[in-house]
Amino acid sequence: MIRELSTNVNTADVAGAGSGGRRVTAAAAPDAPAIPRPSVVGGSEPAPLLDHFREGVVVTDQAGVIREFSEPALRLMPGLAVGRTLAGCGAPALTDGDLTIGDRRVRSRRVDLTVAGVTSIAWYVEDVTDAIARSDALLAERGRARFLAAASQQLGNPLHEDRAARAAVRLAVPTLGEIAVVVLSPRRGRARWWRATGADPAMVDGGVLTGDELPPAVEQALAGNEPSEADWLADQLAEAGWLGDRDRRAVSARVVSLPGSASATGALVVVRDTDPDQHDMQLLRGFAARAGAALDAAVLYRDQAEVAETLQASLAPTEPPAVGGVQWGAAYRPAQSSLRIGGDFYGAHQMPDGGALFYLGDVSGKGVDAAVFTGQIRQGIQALRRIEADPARLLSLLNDAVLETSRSHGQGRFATMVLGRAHSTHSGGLSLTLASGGHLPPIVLRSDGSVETVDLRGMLIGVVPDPRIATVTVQLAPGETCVLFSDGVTEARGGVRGDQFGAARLVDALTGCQRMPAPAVAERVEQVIGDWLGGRNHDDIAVLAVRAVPSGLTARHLHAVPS
Amino acid sequence: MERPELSITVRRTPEEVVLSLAGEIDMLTGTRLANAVTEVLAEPPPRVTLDLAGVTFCDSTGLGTLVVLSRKVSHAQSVLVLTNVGDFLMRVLDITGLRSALMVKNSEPSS
Repeated sequence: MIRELSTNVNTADVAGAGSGGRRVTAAAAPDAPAIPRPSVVGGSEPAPLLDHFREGVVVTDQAGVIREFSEPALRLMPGLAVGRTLAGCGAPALTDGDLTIGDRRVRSRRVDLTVAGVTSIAWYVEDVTDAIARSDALLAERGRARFLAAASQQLGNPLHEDRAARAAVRLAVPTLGEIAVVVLSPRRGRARWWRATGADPAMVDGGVLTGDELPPAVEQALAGNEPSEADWLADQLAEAGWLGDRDRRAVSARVVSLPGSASATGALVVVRDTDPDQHDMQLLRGFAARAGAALDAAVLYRDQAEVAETLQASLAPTEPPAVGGVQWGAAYRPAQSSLRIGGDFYGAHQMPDGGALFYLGDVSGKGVDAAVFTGQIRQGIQALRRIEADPARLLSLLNDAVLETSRSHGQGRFATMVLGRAHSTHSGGLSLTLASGGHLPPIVLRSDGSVETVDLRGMLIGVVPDPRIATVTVQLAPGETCVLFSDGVTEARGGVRGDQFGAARLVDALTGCQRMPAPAVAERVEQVIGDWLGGRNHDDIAVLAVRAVPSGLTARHLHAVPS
Repeated sequence: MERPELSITVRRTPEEVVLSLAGEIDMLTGTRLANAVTEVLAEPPPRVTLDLAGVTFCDSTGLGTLVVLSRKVSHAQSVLVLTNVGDFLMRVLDITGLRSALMVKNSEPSS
């Protein structure tokens, strides 16, 4: 009877049994025979009827004496024998839940069976070692995947090498090790490094090492090779001062390359208390690939930013030189606020005779292309002024040069500009000779407060050979100012209806400003235009003010010139 | 306030193609004008006329477009003519010296 009952109770019957087990009661027939007691004490043969259970089964009476058991149970507990207690067989005491038998993880469940008033206890035991290992491996893999996903997200943001490196070492501790060091490939013979430690992962320190000071293993990693002699690595790291107060003999260290687009962008060093297994190394390399990509992007961005910075600096307007009797003032606001350069340009040079050459203009196009063209024009003027001092002839030579480059580049590029020469006069004023290359005529602030527009016309530079270039001479008494400006001033759209600022408003804005020094005049124009624009988009804006001052007063100030 | 667009109407006769422009010629709209003229030059007429009666504004980039188009049209063995040039644009052409470089034929003299 017990055997029949045993064969009908399986895992499904006891699913969800509480820690006290589940009592299964069979109503026995009145004439049911008593449950047979085993006739052989110490029999070690498993009960064949129980063998079809996936789990092992051990049936004991209430005193804990084994009544029967199955083959899977015997495999788990080789000493089992009928008629003995579990303890007497050298088997551990069974409890509801997980236990360890030898090197195996076992899950056991108790089911109380009552047949014809006699209670027996059935223990279902299952070897879950492999299942737990698989589950642990899956959880570990998920954890690694989560870590790498989080790392990708956090490393993907900063386009700044310092932030990217800090993020990398912070993320690495404590998942990859108790200490993490990122070393960037040397630049100009110096390698930057960052370190985070388990004591406070948020705290990142760092420094710079020369090529000679780099640990050899790190040098190898920077060359794209993974060093094999891990034993020596801890010593090298200790010498570099990266282990802090940790004992070099009590740690395990690894270094991997941080791969870049062309070559290694850096190296990642991790220090742990235990040797990493293959999964740890896989995770380390996966993290290194992501950190390398982030750092590579940051380094590339840094290099490009440096190039852009250098080029912008070379293309941005420069401060005019001190020239006796001349006070300069300038304002410059590029159309693209993100750039410090644009299609407007101005400049001034001292001439060998003590006078000054000055100019302001505007090239076709916008942004970087236009700025590069302005650079070419400024260089052209810089070179041509040494062989030609007359403004009209200089513009004519410049026109030929622009036409030539336009043809060779296949672009219809042109410029408008006013170019002038300033000479001190005996009266303490300035004599200006102005030539126009199709630019807006300058305006003059007279000492009586009136404002004049200079009658000056000419042909665009770079459109036709032998252009008509008009010249005019303007006399400035001491304290009078000539203002050159780009069309970004008069064509600025603003006000209530989005109208153009126009020449008339510019004249109004400068009327009564005759006592202002040149820098203040330029600043005034820029301020008025800024107010008019009210935050709207605008073209490049440039202003150059030339004021006649007594020879001792050459103070100049360039407002809003990008530094 | 939004910037006025540039509308371009094309009328073709055996002697010429007339492009009537209305609005502003600047950096944003100059490319559209250049493309329209390039399409016309696929079968070059004896003359390409830009009717500028409706043009309210032309900046330096717009002037550049006119210069480039003048060259392009002459390369195609045709001629570019500007007509109905308003006072504002005529003044700009005067300041920049382009009045003599481009062929301007107003039906009535500009005041």
